[in-house]
Amino acid sequence: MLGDLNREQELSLLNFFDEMTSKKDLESLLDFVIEHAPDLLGVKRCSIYLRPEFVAQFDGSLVDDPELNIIPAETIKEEFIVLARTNYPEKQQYIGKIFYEIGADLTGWVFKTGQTLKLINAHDPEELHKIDPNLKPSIRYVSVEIDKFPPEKFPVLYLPLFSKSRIIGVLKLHWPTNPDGLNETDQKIGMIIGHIIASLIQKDQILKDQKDTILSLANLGAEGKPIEVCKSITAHARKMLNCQHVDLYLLDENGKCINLSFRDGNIYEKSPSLAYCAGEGLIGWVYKTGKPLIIDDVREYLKKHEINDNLLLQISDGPTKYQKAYGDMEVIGRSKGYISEIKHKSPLLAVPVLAKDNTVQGVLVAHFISKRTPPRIEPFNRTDLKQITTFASTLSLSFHNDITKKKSDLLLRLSHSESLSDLYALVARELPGLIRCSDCFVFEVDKNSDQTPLKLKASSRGIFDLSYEFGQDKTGLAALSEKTLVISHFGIRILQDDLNWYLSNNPDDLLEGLLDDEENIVGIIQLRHGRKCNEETQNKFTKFTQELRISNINGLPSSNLDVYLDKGAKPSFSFAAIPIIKEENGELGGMITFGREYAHVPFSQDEIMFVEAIASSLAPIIDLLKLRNSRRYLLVTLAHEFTTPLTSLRSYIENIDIASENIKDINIMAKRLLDQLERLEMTSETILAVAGAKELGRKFSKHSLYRPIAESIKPFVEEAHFLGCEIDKPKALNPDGFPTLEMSLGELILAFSNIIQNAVKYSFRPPQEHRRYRFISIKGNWVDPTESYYRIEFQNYGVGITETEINKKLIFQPFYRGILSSDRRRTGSGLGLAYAYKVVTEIHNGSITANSKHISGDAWLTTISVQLPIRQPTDKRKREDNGKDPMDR
Amino acid sequence: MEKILWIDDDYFHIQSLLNLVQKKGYEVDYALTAADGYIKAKNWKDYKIIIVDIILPLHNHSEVLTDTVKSWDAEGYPGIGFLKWLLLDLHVECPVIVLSVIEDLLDKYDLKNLGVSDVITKTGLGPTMLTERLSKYLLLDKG
Repeated sequence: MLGDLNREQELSLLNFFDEMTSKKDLESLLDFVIEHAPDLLGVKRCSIYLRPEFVAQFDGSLVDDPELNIIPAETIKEEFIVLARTNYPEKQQYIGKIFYEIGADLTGWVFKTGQTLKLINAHDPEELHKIDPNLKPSIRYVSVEIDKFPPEKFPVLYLPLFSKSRIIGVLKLHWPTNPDGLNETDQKIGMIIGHIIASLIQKDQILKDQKDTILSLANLGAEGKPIEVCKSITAHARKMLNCQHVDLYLLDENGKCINLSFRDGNIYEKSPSLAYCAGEGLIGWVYKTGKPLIIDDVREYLKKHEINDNLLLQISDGPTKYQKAYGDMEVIGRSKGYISEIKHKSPLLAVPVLAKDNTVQGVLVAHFISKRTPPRIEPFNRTDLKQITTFASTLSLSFHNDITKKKSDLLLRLSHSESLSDLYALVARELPGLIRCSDCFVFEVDKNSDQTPLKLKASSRGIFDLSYEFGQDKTGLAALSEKTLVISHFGIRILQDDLNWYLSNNPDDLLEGLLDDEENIVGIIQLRHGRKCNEETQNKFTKFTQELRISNINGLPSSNLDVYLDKGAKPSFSFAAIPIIKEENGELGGMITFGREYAHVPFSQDEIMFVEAIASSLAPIIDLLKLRNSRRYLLVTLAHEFTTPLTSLRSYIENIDIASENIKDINIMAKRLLDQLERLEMTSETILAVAGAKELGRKFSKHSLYRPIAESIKPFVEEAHFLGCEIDKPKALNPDGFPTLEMSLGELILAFSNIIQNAVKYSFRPPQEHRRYRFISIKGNWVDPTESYYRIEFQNYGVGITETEINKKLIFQPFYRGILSSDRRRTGSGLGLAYAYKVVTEIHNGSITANSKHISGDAWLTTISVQLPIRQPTDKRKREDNGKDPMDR
Repeated sequence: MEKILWIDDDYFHIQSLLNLVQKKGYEVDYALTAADGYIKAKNWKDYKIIIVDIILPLHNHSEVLTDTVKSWDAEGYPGIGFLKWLLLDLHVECPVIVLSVIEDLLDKYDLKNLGVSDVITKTGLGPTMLTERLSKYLLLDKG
């Protein structure tokens, strides 16, 4: 005989058998019990009776086992089946006869030894009342006429096999030798054996019984929307887990948990629980680690709302360890949808809801508190875990499908974006919901920028005041051109002194400065070789991966660094960035940065790959949209450039007709008509030349430089006057006046006209103190003492050109619009200086440069210098053709 | 003499459009920028009609750029911001005519609902046609 088992031994034994999971285990156990029970318990015989509906759940395989030769399941009704019995070597021989029938609810039955089992007709209320006054005849009790069975001569112990308060069978033990009957230890051991059998049977039963449901759930997960799956799970949970209800906490796009439980037809959506269910603590939580899940935000929430400090949501794997850690606590109250108080042994079972890429979507919590079921020794077993995990997996699958679909949708919608701003906004808005990051920023590389190569185009937090941006000078562009992935961590504001300290200690690191309006450094992003992603991701992105490592203000190593995009804004938390690389030339087109993952874990490969897919698809889309915009812009520009002179022409012609009697008026209008025609021709010529549709430099002849300058001024004199400035008479500063050279006269006139037209367009009337600048001046002089090159300078007072535009010669690019003249970008073709550049450099072998000096306010003194070779051949081919000496001026 | 306010940076080139109207006794006051138009339109009661081009420079840099005018740049085309200010803030009562090159802009911004009296595109426009279009506001003799 075994001695008294203490509680720990009991649990140990239970756990041992709990590890047995298969049907084979069950059969082995039954054999084990039958074989060893007589010795262990000192009984003569041991029988196990099971309810047929449970037996029938074993796919018939156990029932139909030829060795057992049990009658087919369909013929068994309202009976217990003897599944095993000692002292019957041929156990299959003792089958088939009904010993007795038993009711549906045997709860609480204890069969004491030495007495004849007396059961009564459960259909008779009076009889029932004798057993238990609470029993009602409506319950299907079936009488057991034990007398029909030959009474045993020896004490018999009948022990019900319970599974979560349901009786699934009876264990019958015969004690032939114990004259005192059965003591408590016998009974306890019998109970343990009964419990073990029950739990195993229950486990197998659940797996079989709910197989269809589980498959159905799996299908639902594969096809259903998460919200539908949630409903279904809630509906099935109680039946399958024998628990009171389940709660589902899901992470929303902000990383907060929202309760999406469906109970009593109500949806507890966006309940106050979101206030304390921050997502971070959920990651990495593993069931049965013995470590309760504690959501830190609870305490913050309590402080904030001055609520009773018992408000906690703690999920434990069982009472024992839970008690060790937190003493006696259980949920004793709920308020407005969240757990308001936990006091003692909270029988909760929770598993994380994971998407396929192992990102946590939420937590499924089963509550085993039920008024209908008595407290159980073991609130959760492996079967429970398996069941709830099945639920969670189903839900996970559904979420995964949902996310996959959303990802596909996003990629599809990107390709259908109509505008760049829509495109950027779409990525910034959608990405955090799909890869579970805190923020998302989309940058575009702007090589034309005079300050920074990266321009923030959209963010998940709205568009910032872009008074300062990434980058400082060209450092950033150079660094980014090498296709480096920037992983930036932000957390503390960098002070100028710290920055200097860092720079002196880490001279090799690349730094991106964030400057405010006064050019103060308000933050930096530092790029440094290193790794941050998980190993898989690292391998994939090694060449792109960089890590920020910097010391904080106290000089301690830190992985944090702040970037304040706006003085009033919260810092940007950006953990990783994916470059948008243009396929055709490998150049950097932009960058998507995204904030930290909620749980401080690296982004999964799936997530990185998804962002990479977005980045890869963005570059060509951006190009396409830019091209589309450019095309539209070009057409609008051309229409505008042609419509105005055409309207003027029509007006003048009509006016000539109207004023046909006044010769003076007619002359004025005819002159203006001619001016407009010239303007139209000029536009047309410029467009054709810049587009390369017209060969330039076909006709060279020798002229004084004065001539093209003077000719180019004429059409603009009146307009300049109209605008409050004057075009000064061209002056040669050298004593011998403007030189003569071989030139393509018409084209040089047009080139100068374009320069002067720009000067007029971007000039404005100077204030009194700068009165001297009211003239658009044109001055010529030799570049050097050898008189090889002659320079003509066109100078005006007005809108300026930035240093970057000058250094990069951006203003000579077709369609380029000056940064400082942005509000004027809607007029003009943007081709004038491009034409001048082409004519001067390609046709006349000269050079053209710009200079802009800030005077005050918006006013700049801008000079366009044209240098033409005088003593050098301008064009060998032409020179040979006409045989003239270009040195002769 | 009754006056017309014309806000258009192309005014210098197409002023002859209003030659006929001028001959019929109207004086044309012009503004080349939105900022200038902002100042002149405040005296809208001095004008019989106001003609506005949508494509306008914001200012010519020697003019004072007020916050109101600056905000018009956000509209994409300062002329749209100017029109909204004119009709919704200033509540001008005289007819406001839009004269522009780009027709689709007119649809995009639903100018008629904004309160614009008429929209005239520059393409194919001459003094005669313009005079005819303006005649219902200026009570001109079509002959």
